[in-house]
Amino acid sequence: MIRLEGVTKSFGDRTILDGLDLHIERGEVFALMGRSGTGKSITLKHMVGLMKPDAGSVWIDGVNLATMDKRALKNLRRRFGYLFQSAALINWLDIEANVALPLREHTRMKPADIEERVRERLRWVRLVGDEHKLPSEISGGMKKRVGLARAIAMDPDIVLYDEPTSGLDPVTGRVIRNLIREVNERLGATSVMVTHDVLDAIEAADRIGFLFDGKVEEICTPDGLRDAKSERVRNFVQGHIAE
Amino acid sequence: MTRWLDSLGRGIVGYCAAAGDTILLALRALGHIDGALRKFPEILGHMYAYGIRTLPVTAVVGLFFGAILALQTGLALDLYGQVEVVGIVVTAGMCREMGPFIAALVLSSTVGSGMAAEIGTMKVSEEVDALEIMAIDPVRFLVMPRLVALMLVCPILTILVDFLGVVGGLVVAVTQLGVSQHVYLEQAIEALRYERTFWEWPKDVYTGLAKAVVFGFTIGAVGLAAGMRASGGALGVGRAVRNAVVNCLLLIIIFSYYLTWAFYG
Repeated sequence: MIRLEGVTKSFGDRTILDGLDLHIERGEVFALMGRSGTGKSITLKHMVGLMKPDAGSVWIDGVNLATMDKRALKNLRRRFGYLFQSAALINWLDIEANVALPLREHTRMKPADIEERVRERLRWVRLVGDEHKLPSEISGGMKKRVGLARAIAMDPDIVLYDEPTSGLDPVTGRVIRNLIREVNERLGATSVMVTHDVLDAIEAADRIGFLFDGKVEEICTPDGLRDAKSERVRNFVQGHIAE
Repeated sequence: MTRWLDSLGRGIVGYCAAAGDTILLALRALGHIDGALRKFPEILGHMYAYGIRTLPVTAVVGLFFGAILALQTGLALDLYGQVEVVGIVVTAGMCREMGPFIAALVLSSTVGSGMAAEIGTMKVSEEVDALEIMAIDPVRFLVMPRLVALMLVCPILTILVDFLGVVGGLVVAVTQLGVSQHVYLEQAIEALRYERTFWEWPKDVYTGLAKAVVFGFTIGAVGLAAGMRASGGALGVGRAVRNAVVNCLLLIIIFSYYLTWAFYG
């Protein structure tokens, strides 16, 4: 479904991704883990074409993003949902308008149908009754849930999550993790989540990839984490669990 | 020396790149102008916000500028016994030059800087990226409606400044220069009759309004482009606002000269 081949990305003389290879299967929830600043979010932005690799290629359903013109890329992006770390809600639109935005811009749905879809998505993320609040009037956890509702408004095939639980209390974090699994099952989507929180990966992911020195060091299942071959991966996971 | 040349070169390249970005953004926004009708309610909202936000300060500046113009020119004209023509001088001066200039000055320091801050904040908080990922063109969604709103608001404010400037001049002419209200207004109307082209419109008025449209476009393009280029958090937004105001003022002065030259030279 999503394949990155030899992706290299540098900023100035600092190489962030160094020949990264990664293959994500259709329908799975894949967690990409690593320490802060290892290029997890940058990897995610390559998948949606927000960044272009200096070398290597990114393939979605067998199509190389580099060969796509603007229109094709735009059409492809309609298949994506993306939850930003900061939720990135449009600050002057209320919750309902934020979730409805992609539907109003890209579909010919009737206003009543849009309203129904928005209410359904907000029900999924347990946010009924706050539709007319502005992003500045809601908490960080609520913003993430609105961001998630917006990301899945168009029934995307692929949902990308950038640090979905960072800055949230443990209870809200668990709510978001459960939502990620739930959304994946309801939509039959493929999900990629970047996180530095092992709990996110254990509770929500089918497979977990570890990013070190610009490459994927190892891929494990949540159950196989403690038996990882790489010492760096074991140390990373144990460090987190010890914390 | 080498380091100095290096930083000078980088500065020039950066400035040229920013100018290129601004021109490209403005052209892309104009490319979406066909969507302006669909977005007209939103454009009206922006017009209302920009117009109302700047109305009091624009009105005060316009009124007092007309008064200053009348006092300065009236005193000089009085030396030659020509004080009665102060109405012509104030009206022509306001409509040709000072009306659009004052409206643009106020808009660039309030709305231009506000736009750079608003869009810059959206840029650094990834809202612009979010639009791109939703396949929504930020130029069509954010830039075009604001640019069109400014192109429409600037001439409206210019008409207000023209009118209030003439009124300010009238007050000074009557109370301080000893010119009767009747003579002042007659001279003011005479100024507008002076040259009529373009379907018999007073040339001073329509050239002033044409300038105002260009100034509105310039303020919008520069402010919005500065916001879209912002990076690096609050510091980057602050830099974008400063650049927007400085560049707007410079361009308004430069364009004002060339437009006057084109219309009257």
